[in-house]
Amino acid sequence: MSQAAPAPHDDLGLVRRALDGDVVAVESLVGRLGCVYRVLAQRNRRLGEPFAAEELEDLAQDVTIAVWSKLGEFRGLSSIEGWVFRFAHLELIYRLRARDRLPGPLGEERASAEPAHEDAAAAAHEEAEELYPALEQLEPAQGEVIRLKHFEDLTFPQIAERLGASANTAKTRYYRGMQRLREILGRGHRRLGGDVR
Amino acid sequence: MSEAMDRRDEILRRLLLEEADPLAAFAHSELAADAGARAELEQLLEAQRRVQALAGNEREALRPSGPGSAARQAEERVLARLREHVATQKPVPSAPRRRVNVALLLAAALALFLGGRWLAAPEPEPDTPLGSGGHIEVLPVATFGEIAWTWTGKRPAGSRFVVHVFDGAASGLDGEVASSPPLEQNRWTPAEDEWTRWPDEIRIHVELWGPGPNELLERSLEVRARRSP
Repeated sequence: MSQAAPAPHDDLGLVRRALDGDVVAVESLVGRLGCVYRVLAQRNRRLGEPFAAEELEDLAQDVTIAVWSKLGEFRGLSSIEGWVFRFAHLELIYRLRARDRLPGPLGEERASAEPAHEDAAAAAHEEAEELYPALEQLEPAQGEVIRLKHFEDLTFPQIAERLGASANTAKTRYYRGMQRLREILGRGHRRLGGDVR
Repeated sequence: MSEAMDRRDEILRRLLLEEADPLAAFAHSELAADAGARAELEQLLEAQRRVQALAGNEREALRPSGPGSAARQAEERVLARLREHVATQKPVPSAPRRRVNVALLLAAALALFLGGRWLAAPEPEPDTPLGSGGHIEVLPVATFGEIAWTWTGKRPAGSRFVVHVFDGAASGLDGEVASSPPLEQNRWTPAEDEWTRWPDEIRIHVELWGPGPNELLERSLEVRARRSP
C-alpha cells in the first residue's frame, strides 16, 4: 500500500486569506495568536520564571509581531498553534540566553543568581531542538499520525476517521514512524558520542 | 514504503500500542528470548515517551487562559498591540493573479458591450516585462522544486515576490498548479509533498508586487523546467 501524503492543515487557507488582506481572516488569525503569550507564559513558569511579568509581556509583543511577519513561511504542516509553539518556545530560550550573556553587573548578577534557569533552559532547548527536526524527517504520512496521536490527542479510531483509512493502517503508520524516529534519535546520540538508546 | 508487517513487527507494534505494561507483556510473548527485540521495544518506548512529553508541554501551553485572569488580560494587551501593528501594514496579495484575471474579464465584457475595440487592450502577456525599471531573471532550476531568481533594480519598500507554477502542457495562464506566498527573498522552496505532485514539466513565472492593492510591478519571462528522470 502506498503512503498518502497528508493534506495541508486547514489553517494554511486561513493564513493565505489573511495575507491577502481578508479582514475576517486577519481578525480570526490575530485572535488565534493569543497563544503566543500563553506559550511564553507556560515555558517561563516551567523555567522558574526567569522573566518578570512585565518583561514577559514585552517579549510576547515582540514575538507576536515576529510570528506575524513570518506567516508567509507557514506551510500548513500543523495547526497555527503548533507552529507558534515551536517558534515561541525557541525564542524564549534564545532571549533568555542572550539576556544572561549581557555584560556588566546586571549580567553577572543574573548569571550567579539563576544558574538553574540556564540548566533548565539548556535541557528544554536541546530536547526540543532534537525532537522537532527529527519529527520533520519522518515520512509525511507517518509524521501526521504521530502528530495527531500525541499533539492533537486523538485516538486511533479518530485518526483513522480523519485520514479516511482503517485504524490498523493508522497504527502501522504510527509504529513505522516510531521505528524511524528511534533510528534518527539514535543516530543523533551516536554523533554526539553517547550511547545508542 | 510497504505497510505490510512481518510477525516480529506485528508483535512489537501490539506491545507498543495495546499493552498497559509493554515490557511485562514482552516477557510473556513469543519474542521473550529475543534480546534484540527487547532492546528495540525499550528504544521505541523511550522515543514514544519523549514525543509524549513534548506534545504534553505543547498542549498545556496552548490551553486557553481563564476569562478575566491576569494572563487573559496580558494576552489581550498583546493582541491589541498586534492589531495596531497589522493596521499599519498594507496587505500583500498571496494569489493576485486571480484578481487580475477577474479584472480582465470585466474589462473584456465591458469592451464587448460597448463595441469599442480600443477598450479591449489586453493585459501584457505573461512574458512581457512591465517596464518597472527592474528585471526579474529566473535562474536555471538545479533541483526540481527549488525556484530562484535575480532582481536587478531598486526594490520598492514593502514589495514582495510571488511565484506561479503552471503545467508545462498548458499555455498562457492556464494550468496553474501552485503559487507561492508573498516572499521577501529571491528563492522559493515549496514543501516536498507539494512539488512532488507537480507535473513533470512546469512553466515558472515570478512577479514582483508592490505594497498597494493589485500593484503588479514586474514579471519575469516564462521559464520551463523538467523533472529529472
